[in-house]
Amino acid sequence: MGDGFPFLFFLLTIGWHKQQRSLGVTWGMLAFCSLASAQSDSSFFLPQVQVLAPAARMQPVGARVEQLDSARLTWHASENAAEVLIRRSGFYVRNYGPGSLATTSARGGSSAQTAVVWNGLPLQSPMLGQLDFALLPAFFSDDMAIQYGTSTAAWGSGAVGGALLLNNTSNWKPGLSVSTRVGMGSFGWRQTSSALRYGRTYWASSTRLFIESAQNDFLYRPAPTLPYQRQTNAQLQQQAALQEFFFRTRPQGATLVVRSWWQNTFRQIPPTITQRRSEAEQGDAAWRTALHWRKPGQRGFWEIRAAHFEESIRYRDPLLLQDTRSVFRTQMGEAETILRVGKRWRHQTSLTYVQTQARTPAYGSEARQWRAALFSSWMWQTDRWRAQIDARVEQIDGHWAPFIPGMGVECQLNSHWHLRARAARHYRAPTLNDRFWLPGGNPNLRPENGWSQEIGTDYRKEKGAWRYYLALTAFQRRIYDWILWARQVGQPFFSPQNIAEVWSRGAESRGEVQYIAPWGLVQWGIGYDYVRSTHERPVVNPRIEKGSQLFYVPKHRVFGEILGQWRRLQLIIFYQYTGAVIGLNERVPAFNLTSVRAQYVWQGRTFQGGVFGQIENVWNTSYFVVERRPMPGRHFRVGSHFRLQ
Amino acid sequence: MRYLCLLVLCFVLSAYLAAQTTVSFENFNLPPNTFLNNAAPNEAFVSGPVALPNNYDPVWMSWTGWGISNRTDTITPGFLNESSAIAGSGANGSPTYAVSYAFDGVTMRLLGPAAGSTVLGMYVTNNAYAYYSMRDGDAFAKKFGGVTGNDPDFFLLTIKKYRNGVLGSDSVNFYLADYRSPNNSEDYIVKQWTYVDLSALGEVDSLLFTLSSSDVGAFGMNTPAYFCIDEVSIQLSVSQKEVLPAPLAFDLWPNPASSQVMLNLPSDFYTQGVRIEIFDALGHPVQMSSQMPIFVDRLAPGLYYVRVWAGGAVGIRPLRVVR
Repeated sequence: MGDGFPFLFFLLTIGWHKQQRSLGVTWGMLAFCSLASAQSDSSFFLPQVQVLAPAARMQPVGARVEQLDSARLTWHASENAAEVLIRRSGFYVRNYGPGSLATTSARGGSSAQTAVVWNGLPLQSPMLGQLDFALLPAFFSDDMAIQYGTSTAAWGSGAVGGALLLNNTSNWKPGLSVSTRVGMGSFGWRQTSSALRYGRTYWASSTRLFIESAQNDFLYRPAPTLPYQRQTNAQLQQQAALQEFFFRTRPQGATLVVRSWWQNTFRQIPPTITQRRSEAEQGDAAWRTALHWRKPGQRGFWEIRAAHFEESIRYRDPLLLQDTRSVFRTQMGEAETILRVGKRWRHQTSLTYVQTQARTPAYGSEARQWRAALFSSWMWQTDRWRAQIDARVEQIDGHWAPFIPGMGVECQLNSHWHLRARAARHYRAPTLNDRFWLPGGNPNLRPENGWSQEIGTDYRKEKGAWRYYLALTAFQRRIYDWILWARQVGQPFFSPQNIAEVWSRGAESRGEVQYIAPWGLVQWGIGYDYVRSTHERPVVNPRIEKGSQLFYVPKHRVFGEILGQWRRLQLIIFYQYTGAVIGLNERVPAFNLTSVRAQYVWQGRTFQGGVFGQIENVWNTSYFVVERRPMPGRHFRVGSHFRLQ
Repeated sequence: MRYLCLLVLCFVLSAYLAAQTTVSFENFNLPPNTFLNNAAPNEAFVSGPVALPNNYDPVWMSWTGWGISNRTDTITPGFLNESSAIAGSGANGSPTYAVSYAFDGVTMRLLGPAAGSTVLGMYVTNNAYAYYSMRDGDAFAKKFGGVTGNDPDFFLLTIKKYRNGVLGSDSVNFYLADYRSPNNSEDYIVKQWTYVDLSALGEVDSLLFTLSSSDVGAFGMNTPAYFCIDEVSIQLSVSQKEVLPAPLAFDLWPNPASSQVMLNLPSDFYTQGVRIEIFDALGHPVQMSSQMPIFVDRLAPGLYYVRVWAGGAVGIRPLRVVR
């Protein structure tokens, strides 16, 4: 959604004094690789000043992308990616409770059909094909991009319904800066995050630390007629660190960035409302190290990325005498070039190699997988038109994945209206669990595949102190060979089969009105998504009728914000409506949620600070996102931050 | 040779002269705290005139149908304790009992001349996994009664009979858990061995057991599909006591054998199907099969007796297993 305070938050983020120089570098990179993204993205009003990381892929022409730059993310610095997506996107987040597992459904897809990309590197677990968005602190990203629709050609398997791109900027500003943010709230929530940055002309270092804990022992009502109960076994403890080193040979020369992201999360898994107690707990550990080398040339960029990810999940349940640990390692290498060809053409080519090793007791022995992919994209651009053709070929363990083409076109009709259209093929390869899990793993699975199409239009207008924005998009997508885990007759266990065919279609709308006054501004934004995602073939087990909506895909979702700024005081009201969904056992009713956040920010020459207060679930709504998993009623958060430069 | 004739006579007479028999699954002589979920190379666990079909998948290391257990863990919930009866032992204090995984229904067959007998009844109880799942709920299944305690939940075992290849319409229902009463104090989950009278089913060749629950989701029944039985009482039919089958002549080779044995039968008997039972020297059934070769590599060296039923005739031959 739009942001009325970009300038102020930009100051908090990168400082005022050397703003122009810093921006110059950033915009220089952006101007080339993003190629007029302000035209193509469907973000709400872009802030006057924004910091965006250089994109690892050219902007997909014809697709809808919503940018959350550093200024907007400042609102969410104490939240995780799941909470950001709930407030700011049309992605439906399947949230099992505060701090608990959170997965997404983008445009009616499954949780494994949303890609998560960190500085160009896919983060989804190769074992599950998905990522727990509750494990992604927004504080560790300088900007986010929410990409709607298929982008398999760019990001590979799994980028079917949408993609969340997490990026970190290269900040070369000389000097030292220190910032700290502390927060506390209901249910024992405590959070501390700190950043230390030091830069010289040719190198810089950035360190971010993040600590969070919560008891999450909230009161909830299992049924309207029953008294409140206190949630148990829901504790959360999370520690994370992100270290970045930046090197360059000269101000406009080649850059080398080394990033290392360590994170350790301990979570108890609370009981359902139909479960007397739970002693289950899960530990998620990750250490992701990445190296990015980028060399600008006369006609473009050359870039090399290399990464090593090591992650583990330990699940314990003393009640059930269970204690299992899963470990996977991923090594990635990618070489990429983005070149300007003539006046109107841009060309990007990347060659990617990924290998994964995974161990879990259920595999018996170590499972391995390698992938090699070639991605190529050509874009043609005039003042009015942009068109793009891209394609991906990929081998997985020596087998060819489906050939993935894509094409998009955009037209700037006039200074207000902008049209876009895109069609692309997509696929999702079976995960390691799909293939190797004992019992049940099916080595003969085919990749999920199909085509998607979308068309849309954007309208922007400024008149005096008023700004208007409207975006409308319609899409449809077919997925064949959809993989479903189910118990087969005569088997006591579940196994995956290519048994489903899904047709997703819908419409997305975004609107925003902004009034800028000498004393501040007022802004209202709203998004409404209508998604029909239906099974096109009946399935016996699980019991699915033809034409039925997918489990946990709401038909209707509304989200928005009302934002007001008066001098240094800001007030924002987030609201959302999520329609009813079909659960595995019962229907989960629709719910409305509202939250209010107020913050006051002040700044000196080298000092910025602020305090905030937040009320979540203002109307104390009793609701469920996932059946039998209660959510908290009204609760509070307060905090403060300062930055010294 | 005299002893062999005597043993054969004992087998035949013991099978046909006893009017009533009780199957208690003690013939497996399990070591303490053991769960036998693989009947291979046979297709069933055989105890007296009862065969409990078992399907063990060595690739997935999983099983369906029946297993034999003497486990006594009554406190651990969850699927890792799928093999314990919640009663803590077999019925009437016996150590061994049978556990069934019956998501798709399971059968219990009466062998040979016992087919057509009347199963008078058996003792039934929950296994620990299902019991605790119903009592406390788990990540997949609800606790019975639901959040209010008033949900009319149930876990029902339905038993029907097959006779001459036809599934009977009569059934005996036994509630392994019943929360349907408006009075919540009457809600119960079976925790002790409970005798289920099946005499109303009359003569049966086999019994079909199916489970149903009020807790059903998109993936079918959420309640773990297990139950346990013991002490199966069978009233052998009069006709079997009066009519002796014709003698069957056959040879075993090789004999002695170390790993597998073939049957040499008159060819017309093959088309009628055969059932092969192996007894140890004390007359305990140790193996059952209907296919050849007969694998004996899991049998300890020693003397055994092979009884073959084919075409209504029966014969018995000694077999020596050597290594």
